[in-house]
Amino acid sequence: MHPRERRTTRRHFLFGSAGAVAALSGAETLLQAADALAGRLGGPIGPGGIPLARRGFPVTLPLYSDNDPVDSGRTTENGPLNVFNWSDYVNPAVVKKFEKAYNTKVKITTFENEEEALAKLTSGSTSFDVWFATVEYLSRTVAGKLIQPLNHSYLPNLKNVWPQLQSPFYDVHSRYSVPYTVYTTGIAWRKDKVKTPPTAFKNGFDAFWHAQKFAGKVALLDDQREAIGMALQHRGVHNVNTENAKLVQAAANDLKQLTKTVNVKTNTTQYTDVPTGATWLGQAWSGDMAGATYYMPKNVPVSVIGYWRPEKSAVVGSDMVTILRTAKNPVLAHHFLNFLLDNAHGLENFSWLGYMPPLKTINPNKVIAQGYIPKNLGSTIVRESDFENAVSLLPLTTQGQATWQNAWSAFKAG
Amino acid sequence: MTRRFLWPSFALPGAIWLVLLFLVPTYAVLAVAFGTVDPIFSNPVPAWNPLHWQFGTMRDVLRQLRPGQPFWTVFVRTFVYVAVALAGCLALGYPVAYYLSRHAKRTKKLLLVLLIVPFWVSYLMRMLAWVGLLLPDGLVNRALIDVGVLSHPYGWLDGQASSVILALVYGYVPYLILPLYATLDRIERSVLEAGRDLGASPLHTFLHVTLPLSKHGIMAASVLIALPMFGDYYTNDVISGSPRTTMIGNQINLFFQGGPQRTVGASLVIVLSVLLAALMSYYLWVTVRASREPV
Repeated sequence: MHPRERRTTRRHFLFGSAGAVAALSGAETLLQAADALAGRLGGPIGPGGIPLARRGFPVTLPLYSDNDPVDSGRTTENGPLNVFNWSDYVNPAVVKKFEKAYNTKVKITTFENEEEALAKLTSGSTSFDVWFATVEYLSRTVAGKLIQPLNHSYLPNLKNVWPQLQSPFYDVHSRYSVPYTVYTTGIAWRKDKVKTPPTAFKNGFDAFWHAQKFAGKVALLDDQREAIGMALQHRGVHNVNTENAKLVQAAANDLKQLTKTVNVKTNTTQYTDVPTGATWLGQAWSGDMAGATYYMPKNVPVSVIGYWRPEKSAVVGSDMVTILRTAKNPVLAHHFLNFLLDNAHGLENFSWLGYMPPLKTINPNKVIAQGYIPKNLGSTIVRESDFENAVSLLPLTTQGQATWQNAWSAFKAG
Repeated sequence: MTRRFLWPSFALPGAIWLVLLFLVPTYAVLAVAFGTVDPIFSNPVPAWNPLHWQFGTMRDVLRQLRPGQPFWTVFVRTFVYVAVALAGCLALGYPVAYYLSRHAKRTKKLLLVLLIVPFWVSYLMRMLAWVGLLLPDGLVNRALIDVGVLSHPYGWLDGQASSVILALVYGYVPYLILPLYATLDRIERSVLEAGRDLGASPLHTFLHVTLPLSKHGIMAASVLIALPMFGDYYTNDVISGSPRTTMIGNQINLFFQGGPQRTVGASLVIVLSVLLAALMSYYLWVTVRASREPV
């Protein structure tokens, strides 16, 4: 949930504000306008003292004299390479190829959520080389000197990446990270059950608030940023990184309404729940739904699954790979990052993951014809142009995190 | 001299165990709840010195525990779920334990083994298995439709309180049966026979002899399963996920798993522990009082 925020041009901003005036009460409009302006002025300082990256405010992560990148031209270590990754987040066949190419072993340790990963990493008792990170924690791990700067002489494949992600706004010059996957957050639904899909509404998110007929079959992502962020967008607020307590609370109240009207569930299992019919309408990540084929019950074709995300202001996320400061095999780790950015390996990884690597050679128009994505799930594909109009869930200040968490806790209390 | 220390020394491993795995962690929770978090990663910074304790978070948590506030709702719901699940466990488990101790003869060993079998599979795996069974076209719905109980699939996984409670009953009932069986098995047959000889009907004998004699077992087994049920969060996560069924364990997990408010999570743990300690004290009081009464 590592994101990019909408690039707000002045015209866009004025137009958006005008739209909001029509839609919302005066007080709320003022709040939103002030909030949008604050977003434009940017510069809130995040935990660790590094400014929080926003699309209009790229952040060059600082270098420290006691945390140097590895020297160029060093011989590759023998390994084994210790990789710390989300479970099932890299194609084992690609890992095997790497082992063969570098005559080494890769040991993968998995984590289920980022807090768990950070708790392990900050305990100092681990010896991982590579860590799959997210935007949410990138600047903090830099400030805390958990990860090391990259030496680009080992990363020639970085040129394969979409140009705007070769030097992303959250890590200008890719000092500490290389991109791994991109995805959108949207809504998955069962076309054979839901007569009021997101596509039937002007604002597709309204579908959640018109799902009374199938109460109990409606789900949100069990993630405060995603769920409350969606409710903000439902209200027409596209600054999904707002720290305005009133706006966040109002969005959480909208979610509470869903508890009353459709007994909304929160989970992260839409990839199986929508295929099996346990959920008919659920907030979902594109990469999860791209693999729906594998979870369809017998006699139910994958064509009954739909996936929608807004054309404009969709939440787009990008995950990344980093090298830990305490890595015992820093050169081998660089080779691993470079290996993942290879065009062929990226495609092979995508075929297994469902989450797209942002590589120039992966043609969104061809992946359906090539059989990587079912035709009806073409909307799960992320195009480079999607980033132009995207919003992203970006890190908040400590106070902002507490605001969101309290609103989420109140919603979750039922 | 040696003898003087020999027998007390037997208690040493248990005492060390208690200190290391109970007292120290309990103090750590206090130190976290009344401590701070680090400014970068929000990891807890425990305040080991009680003089440095800060009570602001606890005050906020207690404020949210007033009727009508979010934590109050969740606490009340948790107590109701645990009470109903406990009653369900007793209704299911007592007859099984009774049958095992009184009537099972050749099958006794086999049944005991079967009761232990669930312990071989992790709790989480058993819950996940239920998700498969309770799906709209899962085995449970298909079977109920086949026998005519249902006309169309029931939404077991639609965030139902009943599903969460049933799952709790299913998950914890084995832990109740075994200690109950041990208690019932220890009741002297001669006592029951005396009851019958004095003219009591089987029902009377059960109500006036067996049940009172198994009271301790019921209490102990209930405490044994109620305590972990109070802190349970994954049953609800897996089976429901609806805010309507959120238990206090889910809220504790929410604050511990992320964000800058670990101290809130730890404070909730303390509140829950104090409430459970009160319940435990009642149990101990009843036990002590009962042990003084002539049988």
